[in-house]
Amino acid sequence: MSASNQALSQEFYAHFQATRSDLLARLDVLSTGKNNSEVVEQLAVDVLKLRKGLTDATDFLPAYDQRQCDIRMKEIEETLQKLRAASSGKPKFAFKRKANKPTIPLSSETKPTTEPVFQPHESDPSSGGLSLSNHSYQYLTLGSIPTSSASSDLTISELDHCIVNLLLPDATHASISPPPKITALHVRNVRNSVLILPRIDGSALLHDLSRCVFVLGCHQYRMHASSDTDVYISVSSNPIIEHCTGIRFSGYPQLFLRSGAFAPPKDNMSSSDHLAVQDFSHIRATPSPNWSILPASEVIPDEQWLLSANVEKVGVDSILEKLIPRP
Amino acid sequence: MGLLTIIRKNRQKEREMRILFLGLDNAGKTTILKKLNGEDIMGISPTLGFNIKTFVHRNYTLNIWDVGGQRTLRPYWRNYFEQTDALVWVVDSGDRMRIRDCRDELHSLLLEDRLAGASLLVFANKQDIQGSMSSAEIRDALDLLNIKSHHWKILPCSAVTGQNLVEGLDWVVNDVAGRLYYSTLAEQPAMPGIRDEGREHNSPVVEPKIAHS
Repeated sequence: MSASNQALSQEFYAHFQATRSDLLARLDVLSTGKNNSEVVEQLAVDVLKLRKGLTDATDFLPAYDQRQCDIRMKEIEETLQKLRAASSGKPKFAFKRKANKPTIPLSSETKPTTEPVFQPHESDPSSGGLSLSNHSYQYLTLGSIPTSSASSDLTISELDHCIVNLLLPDATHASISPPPKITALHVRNVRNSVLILPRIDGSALLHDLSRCVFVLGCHQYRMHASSDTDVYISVSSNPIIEHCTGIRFSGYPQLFLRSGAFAPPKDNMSSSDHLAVQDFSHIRATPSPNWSILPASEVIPDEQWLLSANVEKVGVDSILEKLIPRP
Repeated sequence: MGLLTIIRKNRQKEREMRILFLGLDNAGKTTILKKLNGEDIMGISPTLGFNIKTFVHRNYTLNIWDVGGQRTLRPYWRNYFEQTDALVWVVDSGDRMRIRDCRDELHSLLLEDRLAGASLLVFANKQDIQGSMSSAEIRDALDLLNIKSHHWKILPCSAVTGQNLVEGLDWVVNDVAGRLYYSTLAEQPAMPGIRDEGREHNSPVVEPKIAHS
């Protein structure tokens, strides 16, 4: 069985490499010379076929090869995408993931910038709903979101060294009225940050978080490709993680539950649901090594959650230093 | 078992359809099905594995397979392709960041031999959420206009409000029935030749004698 698998995967690998170099050569020709969209489309079909072949091969292909092939495949697909964009006269509708990394160095020696870093980019992935993206070394609140509607999708992306506090401010200095009602949450590429969100009436989908503290209430929680993050959560179904490591779960902070910032749950939400985490990368009877319960001794105490008062005194950076888990 | 019983059983079987619900995770596949079935939609966990629902809709028995869309589960989708009459592709209309993923997954499904000839319904779900992409935007982003191999339709819908869910099922049933049980429909829709390929049972042994009004 394993011998035949090996033969199969070898055969596939040879085929994959051959097709790949063929595709690359054709891409090369197209990108240098004049190209017409028909040829590009034919190429796109061939790329898709190879992708399908790869998907079919997941049965017998070893994990390492799968990953390698997948990376190669992505390169080809990206090149093709660029070519397509260039070849079609009138640009077709397409969303691009921002490829350029923020220019802010991650090391702590660098002096924190105090000005917001705006990196306007084309095809904003979050146009339409509420959006909070491209910030670093900032304290962000509801006031930081360009509000457009009363009930909406919220996208948080490309943050580094930020504190996001979207709880309602105290009644004494309530400046935003009425608060936006968030019905879906998408988060991508957030690093070294603390995010405090109220209960949202919908699902949360997160990608690529690292070294974060994340506070949220929601109906469904899905977390992908993230690492070293503490999650304080109240959720009415089983939260799930996939391709994650070093995730620790705890309950939604009591402090926020008591204050008016958090609408009392109307459904049968049990406080221990955050413990029933499912790891889709580890579908076995043994406990997943990728997540754990945050030990009570490491749960952030109430007084440290009072960020708005502290942030002016000590600054964003030193609060982050205190709250974010060390790997 | 008399001949009549056999014929009846056969006929009953003929009026079944197998429908596959697929889409990226967080699209709302399970929520749509639970809403259609009148179940509570607040406590749904992400699907680990699959669910099967059986509805009777306009005299057809629909066997609906809802398979989880997490990345780790997608390689298993192909285990459910056999005998599929219709594919319902559910899209989270708010998920702009993964719309390319969504397009690629869909187009690689359409290359599957075992799904050849299946009708394709695209549900642009979560229209109740402000800021969602419209069905026209999604049609373009998913490159639906380039699909020549399948009969397709896109419908904006909301699993929370129930908008267009029944209409979607209607289209699926109508489209599949037009292909498989065309003799039972009052009007015979014109059938593109490509959809008949590979179908051996276009003329059921027993033709139900109804619906000629």
